[in-house]
Amino acid sequence: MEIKAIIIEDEKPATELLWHYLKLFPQISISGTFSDGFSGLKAINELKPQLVFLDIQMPKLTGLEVLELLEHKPAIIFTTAFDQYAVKAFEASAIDYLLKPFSSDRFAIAVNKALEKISQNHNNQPIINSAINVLEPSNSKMERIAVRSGSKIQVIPVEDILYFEADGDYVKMHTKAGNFLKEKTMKYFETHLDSLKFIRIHRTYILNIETILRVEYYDKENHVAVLNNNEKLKISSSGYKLLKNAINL
Amino acid sequence: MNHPFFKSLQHLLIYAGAWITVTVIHAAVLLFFYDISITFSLIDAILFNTLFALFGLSLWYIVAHSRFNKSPILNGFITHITSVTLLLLIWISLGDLILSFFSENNLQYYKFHSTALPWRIISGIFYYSILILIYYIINYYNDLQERSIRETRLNEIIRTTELDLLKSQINPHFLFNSLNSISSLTITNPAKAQEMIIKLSDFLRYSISQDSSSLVSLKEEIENAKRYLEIEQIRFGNKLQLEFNISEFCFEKLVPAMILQPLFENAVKHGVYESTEEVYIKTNCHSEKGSLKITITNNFDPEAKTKQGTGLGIKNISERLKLMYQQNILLNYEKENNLFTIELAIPQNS
Repeated sequence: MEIKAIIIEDEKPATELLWHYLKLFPQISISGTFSDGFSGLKAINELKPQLVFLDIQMPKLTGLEVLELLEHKPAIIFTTAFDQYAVKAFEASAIDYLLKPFSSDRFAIAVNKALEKISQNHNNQPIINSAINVLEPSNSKMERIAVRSGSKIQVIPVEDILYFEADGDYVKMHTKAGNFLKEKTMKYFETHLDSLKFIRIHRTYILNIETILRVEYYDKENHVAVLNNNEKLKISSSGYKLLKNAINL
Repeated sequence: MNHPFFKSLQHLLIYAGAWITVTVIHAAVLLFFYDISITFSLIDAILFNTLFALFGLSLWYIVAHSRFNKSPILNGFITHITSVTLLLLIWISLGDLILSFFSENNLQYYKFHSTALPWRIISGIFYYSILILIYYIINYYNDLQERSIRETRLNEIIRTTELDLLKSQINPHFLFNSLNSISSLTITNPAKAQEMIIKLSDFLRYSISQDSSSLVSLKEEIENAKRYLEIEQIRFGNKLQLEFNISEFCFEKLVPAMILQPLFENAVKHGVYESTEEVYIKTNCHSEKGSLKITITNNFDPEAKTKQGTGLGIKNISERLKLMYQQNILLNYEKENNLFTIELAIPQNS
């Protein structure tokens, strides 16, 4: 059985090394190499490879963002010089993660693991998804979010988002340029956003405090936040406490 | 400017105490050597010394505010001659005016008073000189203290930048990715692998050995930056294009060590890492008004949605220059369309 693979990597020597190591696996054929996140994502969706070697730090979209936006989910092996404790967490739960520089033996272990998964009929998808959360560096805050809108991919800086709203299995992000949906939980955003700038004011809302114009009484006990586009959002009593602390009310 | 005698009650009391001593001696001299009655001896001593003590306080401002950069001796001389003349004129005429309100029927005192002018001038000049001397000493001492505070701060910053430098030089991303490239080149192009190992070693050696308070020639700095940039070029190929436009004249000049590499690293990080197009890093240098102007320009992808903000690196360099040269704003940067430009001004007059 021939396995179709692609390489997404922005450094030439690193790409050449992968080609070289892959000579040991004649059953794997490389359909292409791509040097940025956008073209890599497009290639995965169009070429539908079974195996992808994915770098993390790349122009346009990072490897992690590519993974989030995939429709077709192949077996993925990360290749990167990423920081280490995140790597450990990943290794426990994903296909594999190659830390640059890596040996041909270490590479073979990863590829064999992937081949085994592929022959077991692609049941690796949920495993990769659970790995993403732990892969993001825990000490740095989310700075941008990649979303699919129609056939286009958009990268939204978090400071452009007015607020996040729970919407079934999705979270709706409200920006001046329109709304975007992302298949994530509110809890995910609450933990990954900078808690000094984004406050969970209600079960259904996480608010960017930059956009608050004023806080008003809704009735005797409840408050609403008035945003600078005149939208009003309900604040729960626990949310009010968080907000009070955040903006020194 | 803080007046030294108004800084605390203690200082003011010392000043007053000194003048009380002078007043007592003054009165005693009149009483015993000129046979003037105790009343007039005291009136004369208290009046003239109190006036001088009050005027004397203001002399501090002459010392503190006159910084003569050009011919300090001549200018200082002129200033003090003018101020001592004015002071004596006002002091003696005001003293005599007030004295005229007291009765003048004491013959002994009147006799003294009519001959007192040269005596007063001499003592006035003497008091003036003593006071000015004290003020100069205080001023010098203050300067010294200020300088030592500044130096401590400079050392502190240097220490933290040294730490940051070490961390950034051994920037794990750069180092491990470079090692990965070497690993690849050992198979595909061993000669190039060797070249890269030597460049990486030289770069690390230079970075670690430089004391960040020391000065090196621009040539050495550029050579080190080139080692760094050439390693990045091996990783990114044609995507990174370099252009240096530096005259031999500039190469000889001295600049702080490890001041350029962080700026190039910044250009690579925001330019090359985030772009799919070719990125040009252009470096120019020329001399202007006694300082060396170094500009580093790079294009970047304006679509890249990362924080293009000025990183800690640029802030650190700016702070280091400010402390080393005691001048504000030696680093400027601007972002225009898809071009990022940093301009450094390194003073050369020392």
